[in-house]
This record gives sequence, C-alpha cells and structure tokens, in this order.
Amino acid sequence: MGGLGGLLLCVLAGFGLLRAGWPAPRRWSAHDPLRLAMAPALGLGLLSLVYFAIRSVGGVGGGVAVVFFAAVALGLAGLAWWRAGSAAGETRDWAKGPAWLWWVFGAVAGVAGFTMVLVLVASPHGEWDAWSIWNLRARFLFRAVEAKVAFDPMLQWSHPDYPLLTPAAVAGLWTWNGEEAQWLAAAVAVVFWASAVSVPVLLLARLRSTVVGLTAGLALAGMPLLVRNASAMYADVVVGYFFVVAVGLCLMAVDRGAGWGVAALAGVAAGLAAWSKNEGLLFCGVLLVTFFGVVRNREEWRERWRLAGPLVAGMALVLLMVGYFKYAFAPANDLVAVGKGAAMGARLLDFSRYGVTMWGLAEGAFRFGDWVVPPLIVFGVWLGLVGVRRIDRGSIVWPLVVGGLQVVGYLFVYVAGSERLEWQLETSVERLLLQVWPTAVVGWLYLTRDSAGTQ
Amino acid sequence: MSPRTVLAVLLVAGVAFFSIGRFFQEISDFYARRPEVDGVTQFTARYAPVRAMLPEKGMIGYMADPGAGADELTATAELYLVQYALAPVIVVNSTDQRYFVTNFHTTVTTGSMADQGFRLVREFGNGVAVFENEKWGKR
Repeated sequence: MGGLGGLLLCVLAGFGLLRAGWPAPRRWSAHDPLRLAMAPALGLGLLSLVYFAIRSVGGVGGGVAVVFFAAVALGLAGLAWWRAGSAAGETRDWAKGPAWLWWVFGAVAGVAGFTMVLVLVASPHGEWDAWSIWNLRARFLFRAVEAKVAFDPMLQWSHPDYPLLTPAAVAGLWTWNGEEAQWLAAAVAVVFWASAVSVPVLLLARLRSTVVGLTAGLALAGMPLLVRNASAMYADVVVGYFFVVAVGLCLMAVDRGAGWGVAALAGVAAGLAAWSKNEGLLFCGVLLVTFFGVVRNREEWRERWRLAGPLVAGMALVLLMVGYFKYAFAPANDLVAVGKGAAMGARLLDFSRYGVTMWGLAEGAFRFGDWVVPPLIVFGVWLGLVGVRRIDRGSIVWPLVVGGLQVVGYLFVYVAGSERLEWQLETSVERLLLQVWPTAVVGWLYLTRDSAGTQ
Repeated sequence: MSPRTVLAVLLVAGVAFFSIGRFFQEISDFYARRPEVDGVTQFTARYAPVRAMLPEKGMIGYMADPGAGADELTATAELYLVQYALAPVIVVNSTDQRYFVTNFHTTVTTGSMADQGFRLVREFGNGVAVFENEKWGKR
C-alpha cells in the first residue's frame, strides 16, 4: 500500500474518530474543515497507539499491527457514517474574512512551509534528539522482533521512558511502506506543524472570527522557532498540537454546545499529549483541575460537570495505554527515578533555585520564538490596541490559565528534578515554552476584544 | 473591523512576515552551502554493511580509536550514531563483549589490536571493523 497509503489511512482514522464523536450529516458540513485539519495528526496518534499495543505482545510483527489499524480506521469510518444518519445539520455562522489577510497568511505559511522542506531535505534525520531518541526508537520498533528491546536499560541515555507517539507512528508508516523511508518521518513532522498552524486558525474562526483566527495563524506560521523545532523532528510541536486541540475541543463543547462527544475527543487529545511527551501527563492534570476550577458561576460549573464523564473517559482510554507502557516497558524517568526523592525534597526547599528558574523562564519568554520583535511586546501592544473582552464566563480566561499553570508546573519540575539547573534551563526553556505557544496564542486571542467578529 | 484592530493585525502580520523571511534567508543560505549528503546519512552509511551481518538481536561492543583527539561531545555523538545505524542490536560502549565494532579515524594496525587480544573478524574500510575479543568469557 505504501507509506502514502498509510498516511491517507491515518486521515481516514482521524476524520472517522472526529465524525464519530462529533457527528454531522453525510454531506460536507460547516465544521468539516476543522475536523479535516485535526484528522491527520489525530490519526497518526491512533496509528501509534494501535501499533504499539499490538507490537507489545511478544513477537507479534508490525504487519499484524497495521492490518489491525486498517480495521480500526474502517470501523471508525463506519461508526461515523452510522452516527451521521441522525446528526443535526451544521450552520456556518462566521464570515470569510478579508481577502488581503488570507493572502498575507498564505504567504507567511507558504514561506514557512517551504523553509521547513529545505531543512528536512538538508537534514532528513533531524537534529540530535531526533536521531538519538525519536527516530532511534522508531528504528528499534520497526526492526526488532520484540518491541521490548527498544527499552533495554543499556539505552538509558536515549531516554527509553519517553512516550512513543512519534516513534510508533513512524514505525507504523514504515511498516505500511515495507521499508524504512526517512521521508515518512519528515512527513510526520510536516503534518504536525501544519496541523499546529491550521487548527487554531479554523478553531478561532468558529469561536471568535476569521480575522482572529488568521491572526493566530500568522503568530504560529510566522514563528521561526516552530518551523525549526518541527523540522528538527523534535516532539515539542507534537505535544503542543495536542495541548491546543484538547483546549480547543473543550471550548467547542463548553462555549458552542458541541456536546459530550466533543468533550470525549478533547480527553482523547489530552491523553495523546501524554502519549507524545511526559509533559503531557502534567497537562492532563492541569486540564482537569482547571476545567472544573475556572468557572464564573454555578451554572457554568454544572455544565462542566455534565461534560466531566466523557472528558475523563476519553483521557483515560489513552492514559491506560500510557500507564501500560510506563509499567511494563519504560524505566523510571531520570528526573524522578526511585531513590531521588530525598534529593528532590532538598531541592524544593532550596529557594535560590526558584529565583534561578523564574529568571530563566522570564528570560526565555522574552527572547522566545526568534521573532524580530519579542512576542511579549507584540501581544502586549495587541492588548493595548484592542483591549480585553468582558469576562462573563470562566471559559474566556481558561485557555490562558491552562497555559500558565503548565508553565508553573515546568517551574517545579526544573526546581525539583534538575541536577544541572542552569544548563537545563539554557537548553530546554524555549522548547517547553514552544509546547505551550499554540495554546497561549489561542488563549490570548480568546481573551481580547474582537471588533471583527459577532461573538 | 475597527482601525485599531486593523493596526493590531498589521502589527502581527508584519512581525510574522519579517521574522519568517529572515529565517528563510538564513536557511536558504545554509541550504545552498550544504554538503551533498547530510552528516548523519554519511556517518551511518559506513555501518550499513555491519548492520547486514549482525543478527536481529543481541549486543555488540564499541571501540573508538584511542587518543584520536575527538572532543567529548563528538565522541558521544558518534557512539549514538553507531547505535542509530546498528539498531536493533544494542551497542555497548566497551570492548568487554564477545564482538565489538570500531570507529577509527586514524590507522590502527591489526597487530596492535591482536596484542590486546582482539581478533579481526571483518574489515569494512573507513575505520569500521568488527573484532572478536578473545579474552571474553574467559575471566
């Protein structure tokens, strides 16, 4: 079938899952562009889960795994078709937006996409962490008879405790392809970058206005760091994509009444964040706590609880797999390994570490993104020009609270876990901030006033 | 759209356009001067014939040339790249395995290796060879 066929099957699986949880009539519907933007990356997440689940059974080959994935994709497509029979029609209630802004966005996204291709052609194996962690693990999963070899204690330097979304998805595509092909690993990177740009555009177009959506697109597509990180084949854009999808689907469920199925899909997306990087586990906790905690009144709180079951169930489905991987395959993470408890406690009581970490994060935030003007200044001016909208619901500030608490969580991980704090801050702050960037952009533009929209 | 919103959108658009444009220029300069084959592909290609002769699982030792003067970062990168090339066989940074693979940048004679109890199994050129540690398992 080839790698391209595998990719198309991922689109089918992702679109089927989205349509099954968030049904629409059997014709092309108003939210389908958003579903289609989410589908390929979501499908890669599903491929990765299925591939590893099957391969983790001793000695079962990748061929069985991808055939099973094809059955899952067809099953989801069937379920979506069945649910479409009784689905209510979707009405389009947002304007197209000014043509010139579409052209500017197209130009910026085009230059960014082309630049990404140049980097991927020049460095098809990605940067250090890509070949020493993610692509290495993909090779182990694809080449080894038994998947557990990939987590041998001798490979501790390659962080075998890191979750497997990217490597298992790449290994799954290689299996479809019949052989390793580096362009498929590059295609996965491109899919996640394109999705991380396009989903916020289409999401905010529905939640606010097309102008706000395209502004988010400019802030994402026009960020060199996002292109650099994605084309290095690191997993920060991947996890950041799932953060913003989880938050976005929650907003659709809460503020647009999209229903319990969308809340369940948000839970799946949050779970896939945890399947992408360990930071995703923190995100699941932050998402749940703030989803129920950031409300303005009792009515909103009741509405959130109504969606609690599906959200938690969707998340739990994927977290079960993460738990199985952590329990049965992964060694302890080097930051929190057994026996380090006392040292972590001592670090938490060393208040100078908080100062160093806060300074590192603040400095990183100011220099963030490789923009010609720091984003903090740009969005500060934006706020000054357009102002904050009336906050009559908790959901208006909620995405920013999620992003903010996630960064606070990183602060504590640095303080408690890092043995070489300054080096670690220097080498990782921009990547951690990048994970939160799409959510922060959506959150900021959700909070500020919008004279172009109707909502 | 209010004039203030237009101004705010133009600000983001301008910053995004110039930032990505500057990055594109940087990358296109790099792209024009890039080597024909990237470093990872070039390095790991040396190990493709070794990979072909190895079993589907197991461990193999590793030896880089002593005193080659490579800095620690480069030495680490090369060890990891050898692992990347030889997966799913696990590469151990030691000669204390029955077989080990070399990563030599300078000439090392088989005689000097034999003096250490290492028998040449096969040489692949470019500093890559597989040796057998004859002392392995005898201690």
